[in-house]
This record gives sequence, structure tokens and C-alpha cells, in this order.
Amino acid sequence: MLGILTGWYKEYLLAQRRVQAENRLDLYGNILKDTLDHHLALLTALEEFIAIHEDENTLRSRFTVFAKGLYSGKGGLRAIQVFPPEGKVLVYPRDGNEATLDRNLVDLINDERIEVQKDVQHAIESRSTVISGPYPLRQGGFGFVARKPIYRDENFWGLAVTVIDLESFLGIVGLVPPGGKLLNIALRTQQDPAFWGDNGVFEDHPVRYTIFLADKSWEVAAMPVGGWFKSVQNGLIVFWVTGGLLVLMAAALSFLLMQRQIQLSTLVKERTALLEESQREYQQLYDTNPDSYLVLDVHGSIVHINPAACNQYGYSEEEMHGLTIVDLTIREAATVAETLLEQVLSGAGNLTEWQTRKDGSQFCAEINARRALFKNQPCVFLTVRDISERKQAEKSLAESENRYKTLIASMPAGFAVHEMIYDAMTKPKDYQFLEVNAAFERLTGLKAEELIGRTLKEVLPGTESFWIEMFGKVASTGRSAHFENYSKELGKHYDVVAYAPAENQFAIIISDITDRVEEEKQRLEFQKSLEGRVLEQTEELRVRVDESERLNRAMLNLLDDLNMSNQELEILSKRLTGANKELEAFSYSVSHDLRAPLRGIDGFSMALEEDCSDSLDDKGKEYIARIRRATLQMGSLIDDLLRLSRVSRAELQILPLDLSAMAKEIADQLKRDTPGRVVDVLIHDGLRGEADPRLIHIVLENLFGNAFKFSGLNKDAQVEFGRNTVDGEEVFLICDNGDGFDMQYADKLFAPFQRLHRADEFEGTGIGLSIVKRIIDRHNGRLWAESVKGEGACFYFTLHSAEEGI
Amino acid sequence: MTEKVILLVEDNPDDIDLTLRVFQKSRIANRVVVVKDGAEALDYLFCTGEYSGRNKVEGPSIVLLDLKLPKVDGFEVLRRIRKDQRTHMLPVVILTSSREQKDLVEGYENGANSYIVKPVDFRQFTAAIEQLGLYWLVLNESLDET
Repeated sequence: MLGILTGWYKEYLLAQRRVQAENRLDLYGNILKDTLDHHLALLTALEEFIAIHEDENTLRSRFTVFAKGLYSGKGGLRAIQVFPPEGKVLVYPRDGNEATLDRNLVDLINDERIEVQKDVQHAIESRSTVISGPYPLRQGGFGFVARKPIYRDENFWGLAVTVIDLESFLGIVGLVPPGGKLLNIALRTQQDPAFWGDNGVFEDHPVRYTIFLADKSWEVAAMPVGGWFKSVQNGLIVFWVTGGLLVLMAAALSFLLMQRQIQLSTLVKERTALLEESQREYQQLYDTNPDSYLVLDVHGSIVHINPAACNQYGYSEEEMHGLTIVDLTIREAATVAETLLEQVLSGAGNLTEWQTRKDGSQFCAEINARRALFKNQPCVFLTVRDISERKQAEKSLAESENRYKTLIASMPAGFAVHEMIYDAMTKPKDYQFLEVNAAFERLTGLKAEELIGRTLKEVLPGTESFWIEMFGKVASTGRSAHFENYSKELGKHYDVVAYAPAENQFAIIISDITDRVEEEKQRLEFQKSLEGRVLEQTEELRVRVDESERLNRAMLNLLDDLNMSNQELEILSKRLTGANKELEAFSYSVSHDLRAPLRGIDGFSMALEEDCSDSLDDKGKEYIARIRRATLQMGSLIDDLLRLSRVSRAELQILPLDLSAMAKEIADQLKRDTPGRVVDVLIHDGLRGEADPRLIHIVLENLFGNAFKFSGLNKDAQVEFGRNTVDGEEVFLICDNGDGFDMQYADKLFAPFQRLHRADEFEGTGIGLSIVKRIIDRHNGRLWAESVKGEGACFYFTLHSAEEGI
Repeated sequence: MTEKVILLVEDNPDDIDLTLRVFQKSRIANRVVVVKDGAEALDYLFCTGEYSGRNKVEGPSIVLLDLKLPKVDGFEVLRRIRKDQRTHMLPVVILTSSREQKDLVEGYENGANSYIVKPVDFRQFTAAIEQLGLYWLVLNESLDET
């Protein structure tokens, strides 16, 4: 009977211990899990940070400030690291992590610790966070490391890492040093040997708690110190002794009662100690928990807080007492404040509120309110957790998402997301439009409202099956594709990039390349026609090259001949230049020196006539007059000779000229100079030519002068200036009906000093026509004359404007 | 008012006599200083050499300058006149037999005030000198009178 009772009681006690242990272990486990989640959330924040800073220099420069914001130093967080693809690792804080500062991504991937190498490999391949360890840390101590691979444009970029010190981590639940007074606790990774505490704990029916990590799980096990039996032994002894005395001795009841009293008081002491211990542990948990705990009375005033709350809000415990949760909360209106108080006091669970610290700074908090008893009084128990970082990360995420949305909406390339539709055989048969941007509408000419929710075959029934097959492959394999193709329905060529953002979905980025493709086509056709033409022309060219070679040979022979004559020409040219210089010096000297004595003769003759007229008779006076006439004649001869030489030397200035106008002017002057004469002058209009204006003026002056002069004896004198075309050549002519000349002397006409008339008939020096001849020669023209003695004369000339050769 | 002196630079004695005769005939009574080459002309103008004692106040009012001169030619004399501060405003008339275009151009380029070709016909020569005298000695206002 006693045995049965003892056995039953033992079972009862064991169950009781187990429940106690489980409760405690649950508490530890939850805190560890929360802390760990907090550390892992940092990796997401880091990933976001890396995504925003595409430029690695900016990333490096901003890392410290950002990491400082994330780093609390609590819960065993030892280091925040980013391994970019190039250069050294980014580490925060640098103090205490000196051993890792020179590492880089390549070092990490090729880490000498094979497990680390494997874990990094695993993280990159699985694209998810992998937790390694615990193992001895490079920066000293013992801990574990969480590594999250970062991808950019679908390509592996680098790693975000948090390093967690095991002792500090476990310290937050008071597990350091291992082995509390009541519970033996051990940790292991799945079935591996324990990395913390006594591995034996796992063997002796411990209570267990599992922390699920990204890629594995941790098992926390606990059992009472000394084993389960020992924990209930004392209870059993009491029970056994009490039972035995009841059966054996009634007489010794008082003794037994006394004995039992003693036993009971021992038991009470023991229980009290146990409770105190439990109380202490709870207190420790309460004091060291990173979350703030606040206890409010039924009016909302704070009656108790933990140290974390003091840190969190920046008040001392005394200052906090008496404040209400409303005082700590940023609220815009009193009515809302009342609502908050009501919500909190009713224990309404989780609230998210902005809190203000004593110094006025703010943080976003998740507040959990539960109704409870505190010191036997009804109260509200608040857990306040700072979720500013999480909010910040959420905000960054929203911003980043918004950025991509804006980008997609405003980018010039067309963008669309589709859901693939499969037939019974899981073969892609059609797809539905989920989202399109403005550029997509523009590039396809289809409006979003006629696309969204409808399928391709509904919108464009005649679409080639190619598109569905192509995109089906992308959606099912997840491999992106880039190609160019023609859409018959839309009549355009597109450049298409397709990828699968989610299962059975695909997104495309398209641009219209119709112009380019058409251009290329035309270019190819043109090239082909060009090739044909090139072949034709090559043949023709070959024939011509042969011909030109023959010509070249002939030319070379000709050149040899020419070289010979060139040499001769050079010699001649040198001689000519010499002669020209001599002529110049001669004419200068004539101009100066020949005229001076003539002036003397004339001057003194005149002086003689004037001063000595008394001693001169008429004959003497006539002689003097003859001397003077001869002198003046000599003067004109010299002047004419000089003019002739100047004509030969002057440089030609060829201009288009109105010869009719020039002739009219000359004729008018001649009429003025010979007032007694009546001459009928006919000048045809529109006579034009290219010549040196100064020289051609001398020509016309001389020819008109001659015409006037030699028609002087004719009462009905006529002079005509006109133009004929002979054998396609323009010939100018000046005709008069004057005395004319005998054609047998025509060859002497243009030689200097040659006169066909006697001086007493017509005066002149015989130089004028030589000058005309020289000028016409210099214009590469021809000059000739026709006449019948006594009936008049015609002078003909042609002009070829090109400058004469030497 | 000082007398207006004419400086005649001429080497041909016939031309000197004929020119002086024209002055006389044209009743140009100004004193005429005749120098027979370029060097002498410069000596006279700048009071050097045999003219170092010359009365400096009696500078010429006009120079009649032949081009073809012994020792220093007419162009050089003209350049020196224009270069010197004392004479750079002095009227210079070139009086020459040359009708050459290049002489004409060079004369004006060097600052000649007139260029007169001595004609063979003495009547024309007389007319030219008369006009010259009328213009430069009577009509033209020279600097030292203003």
C-alpha cells in the first residue's frame, strides 16, 4: 500500500518538476530565439543598404555610419561585416575585430577552416542565410557567424555577415557560466554533440526546446541538477517516513507529530529556497532582458520597471514612477490619449506607438499589454520593444520598391509581367497580362485596359506560337532569355529580354528595333547590288588600266622630249629676263636723259626768240620756229617709244569690259578735240570682251584716232565700230571711209616708225599701230587690216583673254 | 614776316637757268637758293658742312627737287626731309623728266607734296612753274604764318 502510494507520489513529483523545468526552458528559448532573430534581421538591413548604394565607394564611405546605427552591442553581437566583391571587408566596430580587418571575399571563400568554406559555399548556392558554428572566432572568443549572400542583377555580389559571441549571447538569459543551481542546460546543433553545457543532459530525458534557424535548428535541453530522481528524493523521503509511522505506531503519535512538524518545516524551507531561487532567476531574466518591462496600476501610472526600460526611456526608476504610458507616447490629441490609455488598461495586446525619451528623442515601439497581478494587485504588464530599426528597414524597403516602380513606369523600354497558362499536358498554351508600363503601351499600340486580365490569344489571336513557346521556356526553367523577333500582328521588330520573377510568371523588357532592322535589310540589299556593280566596274577598270598603261608609256616618251625643250626654254627665259632688264634701264634713261637736252634746245630757242627778237630777221625767226618744231617732234617720238616699251612690260589685268561704252567715250573726246570736224560715228551696242582695260583703251584710242585722222579729208566722214563672227570667232572691227592705204604695204603697217603717209599729208610718229599690235599680241589676239586706197580702211582684231606665255 | 626762300635742287645747268628764267618771267621775286646735288641740299637744309653758318631763320619755304642727282639721289633727300623733326612739314615738289609710274608712286609714298614732269615744250614748262609758284608761295598757307 505504502509502496504504491510512494510510487504514485514520485510520479506526481517528477511530473511537477518537469512542468517547472519546461516553463523555464520555454522562457529561455523564447528570449534566445528573439535575440537571434534580431541579429539576423540586421542582415536584411545590410542587404537593403548594399542594394541602395550601387557605387562601392559610396558604400564604403557610408558603411560605418549605417552599421553604427544597427549595432547595439547587446545580445552578444560582436561584429557587423560586409564582404564586397573587391577590396577589404567592411567591419563595424573595428575595436575588438582587428584580426579580421584585412580579410576579403576571396579569403573567406577559400577559408582554411573546411567547415567555414563549406558553409560559405552552401550560402552562395542556396542563396540564403547560413549560420556557422559555434567555433573559435578569428577575432578571439567562441561564437557563431550568420552569413547572407547578396545578389546584384542575379549575380552573386558578396556577403553580409553578423558575428555573435556565444557567452554574451547566452548571458542574456543567465546561462553563463553554464549549469545554474537548479537546471543543467545544454545546447547542440541538431544531433551534433553539445556545444554548450554537458552533453549528458541530452541522454537523461531532458525537457527540450527547439530554435529553428535559417537552415538548421538548435536544440536546447535542460534537466535538474543531479538528475530527475534527486530532485524529488527529499519529497519522497518525507512521504515515506510519514506513511511508515502511520502504519507502525499510533502510540508514538505525538513524537511522530513532532517529527512530522520538523519534516514539514524542512520541506517549507526547501520549498521557500526553491521559490526564492526561481524568483531570483526570474528577476535576473527580468533585469537583463533587452526589452523594456513596465508595470502599470489600474490608472495607467507606472509602478515598476526593469533596467532596460530605464535605458530605453532615459529616466531613472524613481522618475519613471508615477508617469503614465500616455506621458511616454507621442500623441496629437487628448482624446486619442484617452483611447490609448483605455486600450492599454484593457490589456489589448500588441500596439505600435511612437515613444519619446526623457531627452525628447523618439523611437518606434511595439507595445504588448497584458493584464496581470503585481504584488497581489491587478495591474497591466507592458513589454516595450524598440522597432525603429525594423521600421527603418521597412521604410527603406518601401522606398526601394517605390523607386523600382517609378523606374519601370518611366523607363523608355516596354515592361510587362505575365502569368503563363498551361494546357492539360502542362504545355504552355497562352499567357495573361498582369502588368504593363506606359512604354509597353506605346511600343505595342495596345492600351493597358485592353491588356490587363486578358490573355494574349484574346488580344492578338493571330500571334505566332513562337512567343508562347519562348516565354513558356523562361517561365518553366526560370532562365532568362534575350532575343530579337518580328511580330506579324503588331508589324514590328522587337528586342526582348525575358525573365521569371515568380513561378509560372515571366516579365519582359522590350524595345522597338524596327527601324534598325529595316535599315540593316536595306543596307544588305544595297551591299549586294553594290557588289554586282563593283564586279562590272572592275572589268571595265581593267580594260582602262591596260589602256592607260599604254598611254603612260607614250607619255613617258613625250616627257623625255619635253625635258629637252624645257632645258632650252629655260636658257631662253633667262636670256629674255636679262634683255627685259636692259630694256627697262634703257627706257628709264631715255625718259630722263633724252628729254632734258630737248627741253634745253626748246627753252633756249624760245629765250633767243624772246630776248633777241630785235636782232633777228624773219628768216632767223623761222629757223628758230623750225628748231622748236623738230624738238617737239623728237619729244613726241620719245614719249611714244616709252609708251611702247611700257605696253610690253605692263602686267595684264584681265576684266570683263563693255567695249561699246569705252568706244563711245573715246569718240566723244575725239569730237571735242577736233571741233571743226563732222564725223558720223556708229558704235554697235553690246560689244563686250575680256581684256586689260588700260591697254584696250590705248588700242581703241589709236584705232579711233587713226580713223578720225585719215578720214579728215572726207566731208562725210564715217567711222563704225562693230563685231562679226567669223568661223565661230568673235572679230571686232573699226572701219572708216577715209584715205585708206595700198594693200601692198599692209605688212609694213604695224612695224614701228613705219609710215604709209607723208608727214605733210597726215602727221604722226608711226608708233601708234605698233603699240596696238603689241597690245593685241599680249591678249593672244590677232590684228589685221583691209583697205582700198582712197576708199577707206578696216582694222580687225580678236581678243583671247588668257595671259600670254613667255 | 620773313622772306619765302625757294630751294632748287637741280644738277643740269640748262634746267637751272631755264627755271630761274621762268621765275623771273613769272615775276616770282622770292630768293632762290640753288644746290647742285643731294648732299649739298642736305647740308643746306640742316645747316651742316659749308652751310653750317647759315642763318637758321631763313629756312626754305619750298623745295623743288629733281630725282636724278649726283651723290645723294632725290628720293633719299626727300626721306631725310620727312624724317627730321625740323623739316618734316616742309613742302617738297618733285620736278623731274621721268614719266615712269614707279618714280611717281615712290615719290608720293615718301611724302612728296606734288610731282611735276618737266615737259619738253618750254611754253608748257613755263605754265607749270607759274602755277606751282602761285600755289605754293601765294595761295598755300604755310605753318610759320599761322
